[in-house]
Amino acid sequence: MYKYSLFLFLLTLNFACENSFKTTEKQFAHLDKIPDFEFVNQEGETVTLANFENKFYVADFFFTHCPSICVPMAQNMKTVYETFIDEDEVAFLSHTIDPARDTIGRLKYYADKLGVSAPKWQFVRADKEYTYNMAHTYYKVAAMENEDLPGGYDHSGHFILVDKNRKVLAMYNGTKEDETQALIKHIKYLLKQQ
Amino acid sequence: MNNEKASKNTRNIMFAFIVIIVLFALAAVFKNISIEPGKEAYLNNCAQCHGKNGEGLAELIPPISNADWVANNHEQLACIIVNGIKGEIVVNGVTYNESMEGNDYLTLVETANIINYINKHWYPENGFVTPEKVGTILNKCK
Repeated sequence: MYKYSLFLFLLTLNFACENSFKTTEKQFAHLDKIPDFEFVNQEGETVTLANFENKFYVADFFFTHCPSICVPMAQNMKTVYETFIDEDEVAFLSHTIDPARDTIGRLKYYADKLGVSAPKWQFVRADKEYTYNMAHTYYKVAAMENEDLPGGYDHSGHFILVDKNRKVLAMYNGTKEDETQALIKHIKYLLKQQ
Repeated sequence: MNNEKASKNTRNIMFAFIVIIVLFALAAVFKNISIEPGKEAYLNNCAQCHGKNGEGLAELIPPISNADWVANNHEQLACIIVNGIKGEIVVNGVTYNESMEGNDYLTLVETANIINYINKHWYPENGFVTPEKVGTILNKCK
């Protein structure tokens, strides 16, 4: 009886997880594909969508001098990064929205000190306007649905999960530990599904 | 006779009510007292970067908890909290070099509360600082 109820419990849990994921997937299904882009990473290398071919990737927008939400975001993203450190099909892309101060050297320093590296986790920069337009593309739907996001949606602290077809699958509040755990679960689910 | 009994009953009920109200009031007062005054100030002003448990962030932001630097320089905590810090600092053998903005809007009481929160949780041997003591320390900051 005990075993049976445990099994039932796990089954419900599993079902609940898959179910909630499918809902988010549907929510963003009508979004356009992420258009091709060109940034420069912390190693001075050019990064385009080709770098993410056959990969799921998690994108965010940040800046290294950010005194507030970027620290928990970096902490949480690092947790996801470490979870999938040996999984070639998962990558990370952090765009700086402060290219004036976040030079290539500064991004390299930041990545090194955070203890992470390219190509698994790319810290990239481009013109401010270019990066903001990119942020708009990623956040289009979320921004329309959450107009009251603090600090504006360009720097909303969200992690954006993009699939192998360049489609935004879901967004997570990158400052929250429980949403970070949800992101990890969803990536595991995606990897298992294929 | 019946009337007398009825009024006695009313009195008893009134008394019970008063006891309950007093108990609730006491509970509220004790609940307030047991809240740590420095906790909110720490969470609002420090935890965003240094973490809820003072753990810091990799080699970018130094820890506040279990940090040899804090243990050895606890008198300077007030200066750093209020004035910020720039340049290299070595904590537990790791060199950190991010600048921290000062929190000069904090009152002496708030600053003392934050230091006492830090001391209580991670450096109990450092004891308690008063707002007056914080004022004296701040006057001597480099």
